Amino acid sequence: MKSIPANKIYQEQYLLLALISVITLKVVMLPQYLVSTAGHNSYLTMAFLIAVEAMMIAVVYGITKNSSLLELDIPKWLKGVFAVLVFASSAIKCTVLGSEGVAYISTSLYANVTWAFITLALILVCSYLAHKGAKVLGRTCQIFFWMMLFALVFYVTFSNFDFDTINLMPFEVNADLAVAGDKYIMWFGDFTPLLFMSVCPSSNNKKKRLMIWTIATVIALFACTVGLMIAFICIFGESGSLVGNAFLTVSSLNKIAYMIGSMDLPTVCSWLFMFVIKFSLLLYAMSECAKFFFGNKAIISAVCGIIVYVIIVFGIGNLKTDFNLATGWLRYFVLFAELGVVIAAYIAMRISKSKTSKKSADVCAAPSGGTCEKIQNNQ
Amino acid sequence: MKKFKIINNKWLVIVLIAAGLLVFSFLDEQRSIAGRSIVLAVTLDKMGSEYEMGIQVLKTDKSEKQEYINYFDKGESLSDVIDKLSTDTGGTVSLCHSLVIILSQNVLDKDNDVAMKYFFENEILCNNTMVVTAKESPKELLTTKLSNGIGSGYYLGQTLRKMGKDFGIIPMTIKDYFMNRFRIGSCVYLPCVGVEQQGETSYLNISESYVGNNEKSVILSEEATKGLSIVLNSIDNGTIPYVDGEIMGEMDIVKCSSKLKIEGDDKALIQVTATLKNSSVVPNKIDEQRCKEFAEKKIKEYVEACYEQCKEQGLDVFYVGQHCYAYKKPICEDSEYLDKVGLDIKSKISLK
Repeated sequence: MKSIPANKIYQEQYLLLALISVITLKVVMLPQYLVSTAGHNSYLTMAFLIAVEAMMIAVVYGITKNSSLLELDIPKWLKGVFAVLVFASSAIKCTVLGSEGVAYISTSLYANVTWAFITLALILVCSYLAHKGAKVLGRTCQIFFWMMLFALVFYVTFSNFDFDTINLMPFEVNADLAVAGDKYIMWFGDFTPLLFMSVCPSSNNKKKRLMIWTIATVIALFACTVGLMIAFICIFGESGSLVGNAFLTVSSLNKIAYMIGSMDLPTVCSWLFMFVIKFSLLLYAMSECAKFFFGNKAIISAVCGIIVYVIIVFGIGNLKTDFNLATGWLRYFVLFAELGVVIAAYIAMRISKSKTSKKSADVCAAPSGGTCEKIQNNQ
Repeated sequence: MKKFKIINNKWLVIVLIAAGLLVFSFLDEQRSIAGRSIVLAVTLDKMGSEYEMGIQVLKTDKSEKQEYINYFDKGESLSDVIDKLSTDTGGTVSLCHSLVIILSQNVLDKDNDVAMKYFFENEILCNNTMVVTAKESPKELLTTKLSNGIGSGYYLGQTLRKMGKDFGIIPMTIKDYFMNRFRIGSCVYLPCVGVEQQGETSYLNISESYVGNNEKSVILSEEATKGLSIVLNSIDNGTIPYVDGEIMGEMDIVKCSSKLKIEGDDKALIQVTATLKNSSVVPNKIDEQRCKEFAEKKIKEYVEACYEQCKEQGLDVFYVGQHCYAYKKPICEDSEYLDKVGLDIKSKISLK
């Protein structure tokens, strides 16, 4: 049987990973923060930034088609710069945004269990997944996808709330939307970990099938983020600025709640799966960057896990510090790293490709160039 | 040939993770459900700077005898009071299963939602917890002994849940309470529950409503409460009485809902659409047209009673200001908008 390298994933897996990476941490505290800053039109900020993110994911796909960032035919020093930037931005995201997930598990799922235990459990599992590579993450996504789909169908079937559209009005584009976009930019731009994967067509590769998957992913992306924001505002209005854990509060409002109590388990479970994948993905990016310098060893993933654990438990420790960090100057560095690396990597890849094709054209044009076909095949 | 291993790396990692989780779970204090006092209903009153909080818990023993026990305590902060109540009950007080929170009018008018925000923001009460106010004192309401033996707080919560689309009282959840508080006018409406005595029997009167905006408040009569539900609820249960000469009967509400629209710059229109069913015992003598006219008149009376009672106190109960803002009418910026916006009520009645 043909074995697939650890960082090779199929197109469908890439789409699922991108979907989970984008959604997971935007449905917890972000809706509350956005409403508190930009009010009832804050879904527009979400929609705009999600659209940008979707476009960037398409660019990342362009880069990682056939080979990952670190396998590209670009200078090694440039790869090193990319690795440093992505390591730093992934470490910041993993700790700052990861703390939000830890806080949710600690307060909403348990009665204030200390962060140390929850982070430990997460780090153990996620470091292992990160070390195993993109292939394992992609497969895990595919397995949990059905649980997520079930939760979504369950929620849509049993949801029960007054969809008060007056809360969304009037439609206004104002400066507050830009302020919110700037302040909470840390929650956006979740695409650099995807650079370390190499996307290949699946065995039952058909253009139509990929197109359907892509359209479904884009729809799901907007439905789970912008759709949730709209539902959140319709349900809570401006009082959404008091409501944390948006996905949980929205999903707890269902018909079953009046009969046997709040039935939010499917949503909670599927979000937990998504969080494990997202956390692992960030750790994976960190590990891959570190392995570029220190070699492919399991200890590298473990050390990355320990660094993240120490920062979350001893450095951050509570949601207030976490919020201050996420909305502080660090966000500009993360934004620069996320956008800068992807754009620079794309440009570098195009330059390298054009150079290679020029070289092959020169070889073909030479009178003794019988190796033309061979070079083109190698490309 | 591959060498046989009792345990390979993958399983070793899984076992290590499982062992780690198991060991660490022992280190944390795990309170079982038996160590918690599951609260069915909460009361809250404010006296000066002190809060008085009450809880109703259900105690069961091996003989399956159920007993509703009430505890009350006072303190400067709610977390202090909850701690004291935990000591009183002998278990950690858990409010997330409370069906209802009964607030005194003092809390609603003078506390500026400090206590309510504490419950809501910290997820101490669940989003579906009903909010009511007591006509007299919340403590009296919670300690009322009902003839059916059920704790009054628990009974109130159950009753309110069944009243979702009834004509009259509109049950209010804590999430809707805050949604309304954040609207222009900050007006909230809640069921106002009183205790009435008939001989030795006590019962809860749930037919009036409280409307307030943190500063001013009014208790709506039963008629005005019906007007409130016509405009702000979608009703599928209840009756409208009618008298036509010697004929007396009632019309069942099959469906009734309304829409508030802003027409022009300063006119609000409430458009009521209702489907009624004539349930008179002498249907052949009933003139359908007169029936419709009577229902229209009655609906207008109810809605006007509600609107006028609130307007007198400066309370924007139908959120006219919010609608003006939603449709970008500049009048919503005027602090006296309630006096300047005219209200028109139109009904479309169909008889089944």
